[in-house]
Amino acid sequence: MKTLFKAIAAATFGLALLHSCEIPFSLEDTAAPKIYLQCIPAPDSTVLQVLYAAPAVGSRTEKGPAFSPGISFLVNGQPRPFKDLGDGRYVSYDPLKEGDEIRVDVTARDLPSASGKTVVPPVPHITETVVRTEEVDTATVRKVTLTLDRAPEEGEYYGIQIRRRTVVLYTDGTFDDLDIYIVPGKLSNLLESGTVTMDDFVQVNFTDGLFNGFLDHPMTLLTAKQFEGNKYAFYLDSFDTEFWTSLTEIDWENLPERDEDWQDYWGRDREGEEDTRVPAGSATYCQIFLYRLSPETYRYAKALFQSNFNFLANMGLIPANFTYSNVDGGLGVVGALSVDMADFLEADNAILKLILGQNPPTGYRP
Amino acid sequence: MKRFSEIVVVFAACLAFCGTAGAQELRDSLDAARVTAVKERMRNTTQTGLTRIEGKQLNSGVAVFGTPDIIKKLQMLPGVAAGNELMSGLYVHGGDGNDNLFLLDGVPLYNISHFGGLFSSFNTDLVDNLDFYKSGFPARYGGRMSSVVDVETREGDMQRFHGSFSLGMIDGRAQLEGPIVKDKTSFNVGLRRSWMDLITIPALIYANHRNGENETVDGAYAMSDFNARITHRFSPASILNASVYWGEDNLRAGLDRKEPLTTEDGLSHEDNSKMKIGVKWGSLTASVSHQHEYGRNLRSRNMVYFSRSSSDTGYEFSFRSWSADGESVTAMVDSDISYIREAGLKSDWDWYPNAFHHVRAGLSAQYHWYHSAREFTSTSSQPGNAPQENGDRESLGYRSLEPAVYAEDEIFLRYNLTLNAGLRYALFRTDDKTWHSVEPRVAFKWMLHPDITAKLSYTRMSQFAHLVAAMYMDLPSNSWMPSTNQARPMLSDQIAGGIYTTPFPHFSFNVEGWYKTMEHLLVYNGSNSFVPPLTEWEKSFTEGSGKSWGMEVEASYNNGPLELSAYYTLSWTRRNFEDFYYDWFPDRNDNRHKVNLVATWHFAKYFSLFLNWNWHSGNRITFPTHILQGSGKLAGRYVYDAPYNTKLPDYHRLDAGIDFSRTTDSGKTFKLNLSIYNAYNHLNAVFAFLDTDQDGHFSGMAYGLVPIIPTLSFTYQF
Repeated sequence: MKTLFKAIAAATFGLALLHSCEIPFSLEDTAAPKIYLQCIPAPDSTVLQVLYAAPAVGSRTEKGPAFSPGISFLVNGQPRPFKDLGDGRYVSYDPLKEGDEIRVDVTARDLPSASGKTVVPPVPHITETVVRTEEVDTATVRKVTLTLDRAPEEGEYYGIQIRRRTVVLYTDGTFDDLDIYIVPGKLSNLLESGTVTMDDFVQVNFTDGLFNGFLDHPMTLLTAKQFEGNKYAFYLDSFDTEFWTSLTEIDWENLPERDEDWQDYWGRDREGEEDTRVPAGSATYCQIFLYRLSPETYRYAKALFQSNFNFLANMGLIPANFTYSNVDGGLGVVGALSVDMADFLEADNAILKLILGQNPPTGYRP
Repeated sequence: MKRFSEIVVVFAACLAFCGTAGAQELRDSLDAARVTAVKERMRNTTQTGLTRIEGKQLNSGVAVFGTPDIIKKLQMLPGVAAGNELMSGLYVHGGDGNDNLFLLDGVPLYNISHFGGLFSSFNTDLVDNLDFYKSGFPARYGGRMSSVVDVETREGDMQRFHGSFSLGMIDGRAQLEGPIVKDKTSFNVGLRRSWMDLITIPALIYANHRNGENETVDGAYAMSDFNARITHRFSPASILNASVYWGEDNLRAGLDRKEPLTTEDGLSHEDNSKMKIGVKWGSLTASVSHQHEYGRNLRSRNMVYFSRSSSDTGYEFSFRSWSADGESVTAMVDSDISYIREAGLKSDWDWYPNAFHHVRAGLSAQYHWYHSAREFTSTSSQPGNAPQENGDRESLGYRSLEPAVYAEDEIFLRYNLTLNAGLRYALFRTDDKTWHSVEPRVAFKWMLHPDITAKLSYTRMSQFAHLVAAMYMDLPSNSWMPSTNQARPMLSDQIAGGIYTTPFPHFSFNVEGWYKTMEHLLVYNGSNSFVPPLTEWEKSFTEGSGKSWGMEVEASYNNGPLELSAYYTLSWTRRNFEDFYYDWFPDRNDNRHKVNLVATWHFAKYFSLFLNWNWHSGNRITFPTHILQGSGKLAGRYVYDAPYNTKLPDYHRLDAGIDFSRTTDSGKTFKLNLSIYNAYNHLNAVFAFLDTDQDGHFSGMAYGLVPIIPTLSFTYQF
């Protein structure tokens, strides 16, 4: 009996050793090449991105085959001109207005035609921007409240981007801009963490008129649930003000040496060229971009955000995530947006006035 | 108030028990207690999709962790997908897993598992039998869309006391039955409790000893359940039953850490952080039923019951620190409570007006209480600042009334033709919204030959209860909510038909097909939050449709000591959520093929060997279908063309078990069971990621988690 148990134990151990927890498997090669189209028409300009979508299985490079798409950009059924920017990007500067019907058709050799359509949504109207300072523990936080001309309704979608721009004036009269995009904070204090939900933090990257890549230009998606009536409030600073201050404000008294890193930081990394300018001062102001998104735009962006949780979906724990598409015959999105902007000065208005002359930000309040 | 209302209902049930104690004597009604006894063979019943499992079958065979499990038995049947490995998922004919009606002695049970789904709530020691309907639902069942699991506990022995003790790998069970008044009243009770917490005690003592006095760790998990059934026979034709089920899971964890320090003023203090988590969830049911036979042709079963399923999650954290300025204290308390309670009345009648009709009719009324509440409070006290207190509380409650009435007639049209025609009407009222549901149920049986039967059925089912869950897991944070103005009742329509044969002695062969549509399904649309909001919860769910179709084949051979069964399922399951995706897409449990081979061999007097082999097409996941090529910021990005576009590697597993059972001359039985789950240690894919090889080729890399699990259990029956 003892021998039997030993044999069973040895066999069990051996079986366990024989197996690894990794199971490679081949993927079904069912996808066909398609046209990828992303077009987000906006009132002032429309950027189109057209790329070759190769089946993931069997593809190796990111370059792909030569690809010369034929594009038709129609506004209310009338073709509009656009310009080729290279890298598969195209732009139209024709202004659009609320209610314009946009249709984009793309054809390419050996690929099925792709087309998508959308309608430009109404422009949101920010009627008031109020910035208040609150003392929380030992920190000072600023709460921003945007008031719209009406309360958003269910089924309406919005997005918000906040750009903090620091303008640096040099003694020679030139100036530089340093832009940092920040997300609207929903907490003034860590203790409030039980009162927010992840719905307040749905963020995707929106830059140069397209949704793409890294989260350096975050747009926070909003639905009517995030508004209280016609107001949307957020904190400009985190409860950990010191941390954020260290990232966004410059200590002019203790400027570091102009080493390579510092040059990188300012985006002026000109090899072999030393920047000898001397800063005279800086000003910081905030620009708030409030977007009204068409349903397609929102769904595409939300699906992009949810793809961050693919690992949970693939563990069978949450519903599947995928890339939303409203492009018939292809992949991608044709979805419009409209935008309103509010801005306000954060500090050193004298410098800003000096730099911008008679055109300070519209929200400027001395 | 909660406790009070429970006590009132249980007390009312007891009153009903006493009130009917004086009913007149009637003749033997053993048949009345077993109105479903005629359905023993699939071939003989009019309904399609019915499987009956006897209690004895449940207690033999392979038992994972040494605990026989009803749900895991059902998962092996054709037409059923199991979902995640080892869990108590039951996805019947393309269902969602939360659309199965579980009845324990006729009482609906909402929480059907322990340990997050690892074990089902049913103690098999007390189960007499269960009827599992996948289609062809008789009109007497309602309230769920996809299946009915009707579990009946066994009445206690009226003659003598006997029982059993079992010890498994992680739990122990005890069962005792016998007469209270011989030939009149009997009891049958069962208790089950896990003993993992006993294992963790020495581990914690060791860990705390090693950590020293500055850190104390605490943690324990225990699940327990209790079943009791009392049967009283006023006469052979008048039987009273009272049943109680209580089950609970308890999880607690804690950490207390101290850090001595000396502040700048030279004083000694200690920083102290404490964390405590407590989770408790479970169910309680109580029922009293009276079965009565009025002459030869009429009998009734009247019942009053109460069912409760609840969860209570608590989290506490405090941090106390010192600095030169003084003491700072931060504390947080979080609690999450939810329950569904249901009180109901049922009256079911069986009438045989003549040899050609068997009429069943009845009515029921259920009153539901739905409640969920979350509370968060935090306090902060900093030196030199006024203490701050923050908090938030949200709660949601509904009360709903659900009366229903049904009638069905089993009509023997000819000697070989039987029609079961029924109709069920249910009303559901929540707040100011009333929903109506008219549900036709028709089944038709044609005996083509004494050994060949053909059947066809059509059924409509509705469901007014929705499981609000952010994840596909049986978590305490899940809660049940009723149909409201914005969440419509779920509906299913199903057509099923098949051929059932016994071509040779001891051998049966059945083929059954189905087509099922489901409307108003809900799926959570806010996967960016793992706890669905309570207020306006409907807005976090997207409504859609589903459909499923397929074919099941069963072949069985049963000849004394050898029993062999083979099951095969060919099926398709699709979903359509327009807010989510523009077209129909596969369900995550869309397993195209499923095969189960089961063998039981009783040999050498004391031994029985059990082998179950399971194989099915892999579950579905979402993988990138395309990669964007070119230049620019979007180049190299993946595109996920459609949900659930990829199949995981096929699943297969062999479970083996052997029983050594010996009965002494005094009638006592000792049984030793060795069960080996996943006997050849094939790690089945649970999840997967996209992988690239050195050449940049894409492939899938899946990960398996559940290895071979051998368990030994011991049972003593007396």
